[in-house]
Amino acid sequence: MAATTSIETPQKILLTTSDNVELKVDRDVAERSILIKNLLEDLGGEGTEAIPIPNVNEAVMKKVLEWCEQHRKDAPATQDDDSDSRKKSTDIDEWDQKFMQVDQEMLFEIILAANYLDIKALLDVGCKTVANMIKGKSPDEIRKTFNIQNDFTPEEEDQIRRENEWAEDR
Amino acid sequence: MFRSEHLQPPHSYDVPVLPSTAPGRLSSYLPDEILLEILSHLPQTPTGQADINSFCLVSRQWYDVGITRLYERPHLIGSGYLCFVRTICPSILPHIRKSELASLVKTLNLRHIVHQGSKSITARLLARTKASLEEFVAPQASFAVNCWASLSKCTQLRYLDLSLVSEAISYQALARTVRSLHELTDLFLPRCSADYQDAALSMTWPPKLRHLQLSGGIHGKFMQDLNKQPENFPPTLTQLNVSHAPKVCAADLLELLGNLSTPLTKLEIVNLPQLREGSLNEVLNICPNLVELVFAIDYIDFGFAANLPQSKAAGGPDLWMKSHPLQRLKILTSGGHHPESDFYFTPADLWDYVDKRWLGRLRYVVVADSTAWNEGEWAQEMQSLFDALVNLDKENFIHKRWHYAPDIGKGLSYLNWRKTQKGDDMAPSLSMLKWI
Repeated sequence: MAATTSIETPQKILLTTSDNVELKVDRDVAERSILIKNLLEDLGGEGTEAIPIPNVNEAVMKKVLEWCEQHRKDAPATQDDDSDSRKKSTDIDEWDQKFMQVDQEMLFEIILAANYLDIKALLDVGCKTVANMIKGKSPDEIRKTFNIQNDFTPEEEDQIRRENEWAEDR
Repeated sequence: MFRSEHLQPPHSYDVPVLPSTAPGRLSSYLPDEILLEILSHLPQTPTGQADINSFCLVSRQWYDVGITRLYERPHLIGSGYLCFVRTICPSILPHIRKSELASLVKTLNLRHIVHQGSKSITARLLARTKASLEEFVAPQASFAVNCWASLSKCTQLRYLDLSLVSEAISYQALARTVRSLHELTDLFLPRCSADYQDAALSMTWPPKLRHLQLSGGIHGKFMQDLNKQPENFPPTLTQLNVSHAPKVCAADLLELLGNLSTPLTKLEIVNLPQLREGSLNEVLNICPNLVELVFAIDYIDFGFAANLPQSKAAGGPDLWMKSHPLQRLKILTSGGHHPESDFYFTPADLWDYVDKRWLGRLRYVVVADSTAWNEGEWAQEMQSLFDALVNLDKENFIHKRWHYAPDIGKGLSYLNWRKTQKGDDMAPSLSMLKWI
């Protein structure tokens, strides 16, 4: 770490989204994304050329960067983040709850972007939000909420229902 | 809002997410890895499993992702149990349509099954899940001789709890079964008081056995047979519980402890009515590496641990090095204790061991209310005991002894260390168990 502080690191970097929009962001904000962090390291210290993010469009990228901005001071993600303690609760802090109040399409886009950009904490908040929305809902309500096609045949659905009847809420 | 999800009716939780109504929109898609991540936030609890069930019914992709989690650790209660049996064992004829779902079951906990089951159902469930089963808790009333054969084929079994079984078991059948369970690490024997009259028992314990609970009719010849073959215990055995064995006598128990001695780090001894005051006075010498000890105060008197440390002559500043490794002590009662006796083990006796650093690593002490340690002048002694534990902790912290590695709380004073989260977690505690 000591070595990097002596080099003049640029404060701002450029990202190019899938719809060819250039976004100027603070480097430490963008580096919440492990993907971008690694790309920057691979490119060397210049930071003048724009980094292409071909899987994320402008609207979603802006939303993701809003989250990164809010969490720029958080401790960096570590390997230990995979531990069970993270999984134990579905608690979400207040700011993140508000942040996740978006339409279903955007919610899934944020999750996919967090996965692609390798932002574990954001992926986690997204998945917890979806899990909380599933709780207490019937399969049909889940499908409607998340716009998912029921591709079971009626017979299949009936058989699965019978097999798993033991797990129904009673 | 998220915290209170279990207190509210499930539908009251309403996120203002707007289902998209754009016409002709394609079905939304998330890759399997993300669905798995979402699923990991649905707990395998009674209400959680209903959510996992709904998850599986959403679509084929969601089913494929969710079904393993649904069947891994099923919560089986009441009428749900018979529905589960119908799915796992669709027919009594073994060649008829085997359910693939059976091979997903890793934990079968039949603790809550009392009236719904039968012995043959338990045997069939075991037979169907044998390839994958890792944990089994036997039901109280529906485990019997016909279950042993199925059980012995559950070769992946790591955890076997027979403690609820009420019907007398055959120790020979148990020994035969246990012999084939090579992966077993935790074994709990039944409490039932079967009289052990069999021919000499040759108990070959599983090679990875870590935790053994002995209870029920393990007295007399059973214990003596075990003690004749101490080499049969694997060196991995570090945790022993002996409880609810009405006829076990002190001599046999002490011999067993002597045989298991050095590897043991956790020991629990309660509800053994044959033991007397003083029976377990030597337990810390017999088991020199105990870290956790739970026992009834009935089995010791003021001579408890009087021989610690073993070389008593040594005094001076280095005495702390001879501390017994014990860190957790829980003192219960089993109804045969006599607080009015002159020989009763009191808080002041324990205080003395902490003060002299014979128990110089002790950190967590829990005492049952029924010991009367919180009454009269003993209540003040308890306060002194707590102060001694804090002083000990301070000394260990300052000199970086034992559990305080050199870099823990580096540069902090003891008071400031205690204000940190970790310092608070590592702080000593002394608590009373109410109504016990």
